[in-house]
Amino acid sequence: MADLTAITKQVIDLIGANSYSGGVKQYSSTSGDEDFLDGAISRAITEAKLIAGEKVCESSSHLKSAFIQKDQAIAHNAKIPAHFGELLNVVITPYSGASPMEGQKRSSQQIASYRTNLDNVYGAFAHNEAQTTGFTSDIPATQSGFYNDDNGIMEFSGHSATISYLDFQSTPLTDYPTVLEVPITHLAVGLLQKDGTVSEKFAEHYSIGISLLQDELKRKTA
Amino acid sequence: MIYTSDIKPKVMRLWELPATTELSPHSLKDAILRTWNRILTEMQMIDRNYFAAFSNTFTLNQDGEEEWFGTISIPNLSMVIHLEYGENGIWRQIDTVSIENWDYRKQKSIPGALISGHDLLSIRVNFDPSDGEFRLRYISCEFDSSAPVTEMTIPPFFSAMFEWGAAAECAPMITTDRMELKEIIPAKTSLFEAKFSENLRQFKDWLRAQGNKGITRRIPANARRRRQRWRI
Repeated sequence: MADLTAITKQVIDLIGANSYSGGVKQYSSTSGDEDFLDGAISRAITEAKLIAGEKVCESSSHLKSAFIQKDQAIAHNAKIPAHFGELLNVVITPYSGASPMEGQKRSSQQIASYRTNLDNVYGAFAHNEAQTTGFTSDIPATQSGFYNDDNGIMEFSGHSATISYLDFQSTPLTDYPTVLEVPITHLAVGLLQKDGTVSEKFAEHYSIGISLLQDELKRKTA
Repeated sequence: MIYTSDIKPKVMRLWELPATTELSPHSLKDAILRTWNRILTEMQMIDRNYFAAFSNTFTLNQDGEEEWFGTISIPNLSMVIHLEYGENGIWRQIDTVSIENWDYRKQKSIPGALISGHDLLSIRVNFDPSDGEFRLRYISCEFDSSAPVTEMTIPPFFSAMFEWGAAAECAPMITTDRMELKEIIPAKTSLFEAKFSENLRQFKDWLRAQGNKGITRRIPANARRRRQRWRI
């Protein structure tokens, strides 16, 4: 896992800052600037982390697994937490004690109808009940096991649901793969460039960071 | 016996579980009712007396000279087969006559009955029935449009016929903006209609295979002579 302390130290080294002490302005020999705050450095690292996380999520790299929030319980009509792209999967437990099943997407109107089951049009059982007649063992109600996630709201028919999704934003840097340390360091240096800075080193570091990241994402294995 | 409560979810499944805003419970009921009507009509048109019934016995009162009159209410009447008159447990069929022949029958004292109306039938006979009683042999339509239909009196192994038929009847009543549902309506309707027709044909075969004999025509005694004259 990535080491925030190591990244911070490397960033300070690369910008040629003369010391690392909390809250104190640091002189940069790289830019000749005296106004690099600790806060600015940590902010640059956070932004670099977000850029790296987004690039990883956009790719097909196995590194995405670091950002998977797996099997998160969610209530009907609850807001879906911030995530990248589509939900990876929705698993629904049709009735209490049942085996979970892969949810199938339906329209919001359909989900509302399934839950209401007006005039028992979908059968004698409610969406979160087991069908207990005519079978040797319980099976889910006809209208259970469906969901809709349009507009960022989770609606489903069944007893309970869990979702899996990619989320790089709330994943702490310390949970990022170690191989991303170096690209993040270079990206952070690049992001520390201020308006009017004449040094081209910041842009070079940013390019290096992007290149390293792209090389890493092309790899099949860690 | 087939129950509407069993048919409804199966029809919804055939249409891939649309929302009730796309196919309402009312439309679903209407579709099942229309299918039942179609099947009933087929049953009525086959001479297997599937819905043959006897009425309760009743008597008639004198109404004018040589005429006896009464009414009988028969709910769910499809058609009258004939009137029977019984004395001491022995029943015999009374000819049903048309209004044009009524006076002739009366003049000639040939027993006959004039039956008119529907549901509430008016019955008039031209002989003295005070020693006996009447009953009607009729075909019931087995359907009361004022009552909610919850069960349909055909064997459960024909439930598939019902499902296909009701699903096809639902098609014009589906209202949706969802393309995935809109696109499948024509193809599914054709499939459901084809399946229903196939099942209906089997059902008619099954009706015809019932044990009771159908109507057979008696050959008149002079049939051969008539045929020969026709040839000349």
